Amino acid sequence: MLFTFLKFELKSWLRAPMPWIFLFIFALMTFFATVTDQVQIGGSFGNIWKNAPFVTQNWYGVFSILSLLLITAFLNTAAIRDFENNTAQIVFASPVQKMGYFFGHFFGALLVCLIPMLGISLGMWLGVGVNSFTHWLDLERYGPFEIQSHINSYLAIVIPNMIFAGSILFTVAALTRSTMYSFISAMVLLVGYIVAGNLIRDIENESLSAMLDPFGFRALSLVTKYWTVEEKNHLSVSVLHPLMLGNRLLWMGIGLLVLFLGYLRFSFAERAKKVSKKRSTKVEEEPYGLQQLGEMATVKPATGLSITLAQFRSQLKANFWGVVKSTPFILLAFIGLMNTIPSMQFATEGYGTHNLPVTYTMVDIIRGSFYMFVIAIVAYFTGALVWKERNAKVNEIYDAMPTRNWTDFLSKLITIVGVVAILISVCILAAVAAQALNGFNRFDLGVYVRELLVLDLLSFATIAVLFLLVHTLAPNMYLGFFICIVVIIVNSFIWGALRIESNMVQFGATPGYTVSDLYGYKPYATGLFWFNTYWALFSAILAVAAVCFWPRGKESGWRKRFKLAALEWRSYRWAGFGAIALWGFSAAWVFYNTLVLNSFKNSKQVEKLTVRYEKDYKKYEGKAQPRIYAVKYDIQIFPETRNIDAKAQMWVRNLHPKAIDTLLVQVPRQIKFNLTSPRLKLLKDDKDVYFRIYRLQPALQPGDSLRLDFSSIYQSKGFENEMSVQQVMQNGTFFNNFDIAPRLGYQPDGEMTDKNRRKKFKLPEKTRAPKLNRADTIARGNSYLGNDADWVNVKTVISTSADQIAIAPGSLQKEWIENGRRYFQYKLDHESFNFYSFMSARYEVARKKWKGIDLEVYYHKDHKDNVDRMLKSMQKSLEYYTTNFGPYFHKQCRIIEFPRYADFAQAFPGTMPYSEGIGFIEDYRADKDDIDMVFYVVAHEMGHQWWAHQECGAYMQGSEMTVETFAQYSALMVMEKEYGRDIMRKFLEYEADRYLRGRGAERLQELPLARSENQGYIHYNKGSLVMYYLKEMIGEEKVNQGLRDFLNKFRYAPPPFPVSTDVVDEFYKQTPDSLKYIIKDLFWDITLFENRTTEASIKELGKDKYQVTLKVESRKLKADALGKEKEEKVADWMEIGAFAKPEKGKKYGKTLYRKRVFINKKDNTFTFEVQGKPEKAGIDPFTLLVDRNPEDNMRDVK
Amino acid sequence: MELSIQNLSKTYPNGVQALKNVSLHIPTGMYGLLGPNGAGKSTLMRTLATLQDADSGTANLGDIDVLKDKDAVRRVLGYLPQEFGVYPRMSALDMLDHFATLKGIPGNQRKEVVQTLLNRVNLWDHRKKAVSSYSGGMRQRFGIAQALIGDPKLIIVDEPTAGLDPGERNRFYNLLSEIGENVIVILSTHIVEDVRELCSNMAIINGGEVKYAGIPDAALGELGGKIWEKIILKAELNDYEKNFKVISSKLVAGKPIIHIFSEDDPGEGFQPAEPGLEDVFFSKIKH
Repeated sequence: MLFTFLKFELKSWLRAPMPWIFLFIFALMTFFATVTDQVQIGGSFGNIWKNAPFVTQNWYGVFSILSLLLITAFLNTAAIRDFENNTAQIVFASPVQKMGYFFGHFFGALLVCLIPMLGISLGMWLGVGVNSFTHWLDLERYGPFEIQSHINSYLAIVIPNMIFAGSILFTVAALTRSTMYSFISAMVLLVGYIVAGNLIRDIENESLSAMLDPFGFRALSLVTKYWTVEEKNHLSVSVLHPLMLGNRLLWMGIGLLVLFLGYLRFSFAERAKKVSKKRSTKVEEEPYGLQQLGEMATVKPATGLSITLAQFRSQLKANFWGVVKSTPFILLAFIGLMNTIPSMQFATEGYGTHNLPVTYTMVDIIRGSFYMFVIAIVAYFTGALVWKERNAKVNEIYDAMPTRNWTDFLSKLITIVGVVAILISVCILAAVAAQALNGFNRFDLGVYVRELLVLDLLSFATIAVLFLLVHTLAPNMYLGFFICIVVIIVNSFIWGALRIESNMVQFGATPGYTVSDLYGYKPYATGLFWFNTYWALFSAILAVAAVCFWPRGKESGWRKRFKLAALEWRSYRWAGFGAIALWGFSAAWVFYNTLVLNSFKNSKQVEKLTVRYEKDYKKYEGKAQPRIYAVKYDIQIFPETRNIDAKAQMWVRNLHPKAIDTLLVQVPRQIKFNLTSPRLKLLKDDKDVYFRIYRLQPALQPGDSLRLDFSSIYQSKGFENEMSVQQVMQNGTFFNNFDIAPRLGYQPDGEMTDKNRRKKFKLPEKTRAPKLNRADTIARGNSYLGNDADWVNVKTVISTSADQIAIAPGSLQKEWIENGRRYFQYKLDHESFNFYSFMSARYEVARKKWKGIDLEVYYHKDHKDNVDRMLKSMQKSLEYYTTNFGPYFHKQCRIIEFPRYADFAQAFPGTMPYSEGIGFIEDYRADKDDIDMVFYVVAHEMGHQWWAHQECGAYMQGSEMTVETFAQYSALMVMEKEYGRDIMRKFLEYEADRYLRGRGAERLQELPLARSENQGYIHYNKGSLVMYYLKEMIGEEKVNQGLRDFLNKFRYAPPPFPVSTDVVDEFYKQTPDSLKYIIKDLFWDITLFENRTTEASIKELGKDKYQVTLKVESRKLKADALGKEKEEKVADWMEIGAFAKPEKGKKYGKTLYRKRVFINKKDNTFTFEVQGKPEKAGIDPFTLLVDRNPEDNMRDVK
Repeated sequence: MELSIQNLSKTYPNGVQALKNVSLHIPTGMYGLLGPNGAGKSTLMRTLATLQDADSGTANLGDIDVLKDKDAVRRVLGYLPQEFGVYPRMSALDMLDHFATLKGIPGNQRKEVVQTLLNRVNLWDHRKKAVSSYSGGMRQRFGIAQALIGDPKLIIVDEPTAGLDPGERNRFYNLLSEIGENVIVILSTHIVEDVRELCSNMAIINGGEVKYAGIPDAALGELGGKIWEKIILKAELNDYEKNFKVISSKLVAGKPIIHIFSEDDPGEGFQPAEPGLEDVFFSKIKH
């Protein structure tokens, strides 16, 4: 019996087009993803093959979620087919068994669901095959076809997901016999997925979150979290992986349980009958006699504006309450708010830190967790409302009423916009409450309203109008939904693919912007206003079209509909012409501003210019150029108009043995630039790539110097398609010398870097940095901060509006007011690299003096929370660094806040810009065991005052180590002094996590620390781990001695600049012979450990005295550039330790035992005694060594 | 006031010609539109109710051009479609009030209008209940209530008694006939006797064409003495159909009785029969 129904289900589907259509669509999508770089789902980039097992599995993971609606459609049809077609009574009247019927249909439809999924393998296989002939992409981008990964995808992902989701959806469909409830439960499943995603934010919850994700996608991510390129190219996750298996069994079990319960409840009885019985008992019949027609029945319909408005109000009321009381709305709103409001309490969670719940964060949370529901509401109810009368079958009565089309249309539009506005307002109230509960009282109601209730609501309204028009024209509601989805998807992808990047073309597009406490919306306001006006007016045109075509009556033929629309148009022509005229005016104005006053290049043009720059001018790379040694700036900043007027004199000198007769100038972008010198003759001005070639007449002789005068004028005009110069704002100007000053010579950092793009444009392979070679004195002639200057002297006169403070490098010499403007004169106290910033804003200044050095923080008046912490960190840093590394050569340390359009902190000589969006919103009001990020970041930037600004590595492999890694180390030491040694692991855990993730995302190859090529995860994160371990092994004083010796050699020294070898040698010298092996392990190799505690037991020896016995396992591995590992015999010093139970609210317990032991075999046993009862014990408890599974280093003792 | 329809034609995009040159003059009073399923009745009524467009022809209600000035028609129209639904969860009172507003009843009079109409169709006691919970008869009464809003001059009711039990049907017709004293009421049905009972004028439509238009009694008069009936055996039906103009055959106590049309006595045991409207109907649509 079961097989009869199963076969029936299969047969009827295999003849239906749906499974095959979706098989085709899925295959097409994967095919394009396999042969182009446009589709990025799946995680294929750099060296990861387009058809790598890892990518295959990701595709299956993504599609098993995307196909949820598809599964719903299939299973829903299978479950309710007999009820929909009214064959239920016939089928159930025959002697069928419930079990066979129920499960037969279920498994039959489930098998059918697998058909479209095959398209993924098919598309991938076809893509690789086709590409091997067409060579659209390089053949290197593909690996062999790994059947195992496809099988694993089915077993570990697709089948369990189908069984889980399918069981629930089928059960809902079979019990409710309602398509709507089936789709709603599909939506609920999707939300479950997203809620599990919100939990993953907290790193501690990763395993839990992986378990909670019903689709196993997160389990998959967790297993592959630290996978290297090599592993991604060859391995796939089997269903037998413990993390996978647990998750899969759990959710399949839940699914099948639901299915079984559903089966028990399922009954053949006709549900509809029960209801109708209930209905007829509710209202009893009674005969009605005739009654005299009252006088009131003769009231005639009236006309006029008041009647029209009354009609409008009545329609609005009916539509609004119809939506608000409907089940889909209640469900969507409820689930949406449930997803959003609780996550507001996590608003403050950072990566191991807490932030203040500032308004723009709350706004982002509302957008991130609520807007998908808003979009669902807009998409669903535009359709439901346009079809409302027809679905309810009141349309014939309704349409024959003497009403105007526009009232009906407008009532529906306003209903949608209204419910969205109400829901958003609820979110805002919740957000304000969350802020208040957090004790935070800077509620920026204006920001909430402008972001969410003006800008976002407007864009929802334009989408609603578009959808209403689609549904107006669509011949049935489902086709309407489909077209809406297609329109939205096409609209969001096609313009980018066609490289049409004007915001005037992509429907609803407006310029990007960032709100800031410093400048509010000011710099973006005009552009936002006009683009929004432009789209609002465009929507008005669509609205008129929708009103004219408004579905009224029973005509569905296009000819008749056009005829009726033409008839309607006569009443709306003035509104229509008005909207078109106003839109045309706004279009002309936007066009004039974005394309005449300003201009922009699309990404394809930019890419082509990048290629041309390299092809045309690469030949000049390394050509002898004079070197800059002094600059005098005269900069005028006009914040209100966002203009800069800079003049400067730049002194250069020929340091080469031959005369220089050609000057190559890289001109700053977006600027009117003029360079003058009596000896210069312009030979070529390649404006598109900002490159100029001058003849020097007479040539500049060796040792001779020359003054170059230049002026740089930036004038903002009107508004742009996307704001191109964020450096100048009404409040919060921040630019560096490269934004206004020329660079001399060919600049290789302007070249295209992506390996695959380079291949496409037939550019030779580019190394990220020249090979590490200490003997290469030519490459060592430049530091990686620039190739046209060594150490320069800088003097600046800078002026700004009277209410702002302007800051330039060095000490303030003089300050005065002139012509209502404020002038400042600065001078560098010690020559520095040619890399520094200029800033201006309305600042508050906090000052402190330490041994004659001015410590200053320039901040926005509301952002004072962490100012003291910054001052303290600057002082502690100075204390440690001057003691351990050497003197500080500037007379000031300045932290200067800049607007949050970027999130970073940066170190210039004596000056450290720090973003509003990070350091100034971190929250330390409650002691939450957080990492003190502000303290740490300031210490890091202070570290750069030595490591970057006193010495900087040559432009060569490994040079970031001499800058970033040492800044990290310096900061770690300041932190350790402040917070103690045991607490460092909190920090090291995060560094290890970031390093290991970074390896997996490597695009080219992972290199050892001393050879790294501007790879952040190596020079920052691995750098911290390496330096800290080195310090633990040879001692802080030895490390600092090595650093001092290194710095003494290179401090403010002319080229050759240092390379990593120079400093590694110093460490080598400081390392005792017994430990010399670690230098190679740490700096020249990629070394990994797998430490594990297999057993930890205690025995009580006496009063609060315990004996601990540990059984541990240690493996040591060396990895190559792509992550291929080779085991090496372990012979290393490691720590073992035991810890007490943490105090309430704390993460770490007191250290009871911490000892270094030498480990030279895989299995080891240790016994030691401790005072106090241990809770946990194990090997390398502070994870000083890089270990991919640090969780198993320790165990709860037994 | 008279509704005058001239040469109305309509072809659907799928090629079905629903109306062929229909011309009718419909005076005040009840007017019956009789025809089998798919005859074009509903198309004609929807066209008159401004919901569809004719390809050619004209229709005038007094001075109103029905096909062009839809808004004017809608203000004097009461329309009860063949099938209609309701908004879920909306009470009869709210829904009728909504319709009254849409019809253009001024706000200060609306409450009383609604109340009067609900009383009139005897739904006042059930006004707070959702219309979706009404029985078929109550729902139809609600339908007529909404059609009566605004004292319409033209009332169109499309197959209003389908699905009603006989008692309910009678009451419904009583109500209709009372209304039909002063205004034009167009009633479509395929139940022949309904027209006889109610309508002073009628038209028979089949295949989109008007087969007959006039007074029911005149139609009956035309057939006087020309209808003959006979009880036959089932097996003989074919032979009779070959030899006579058989209008209809129906079973009486399990045996077929056939009606034939014949100017003279056909003999062969045929008995003269009193012509019914049914005979008119079948004789009109069979040829």
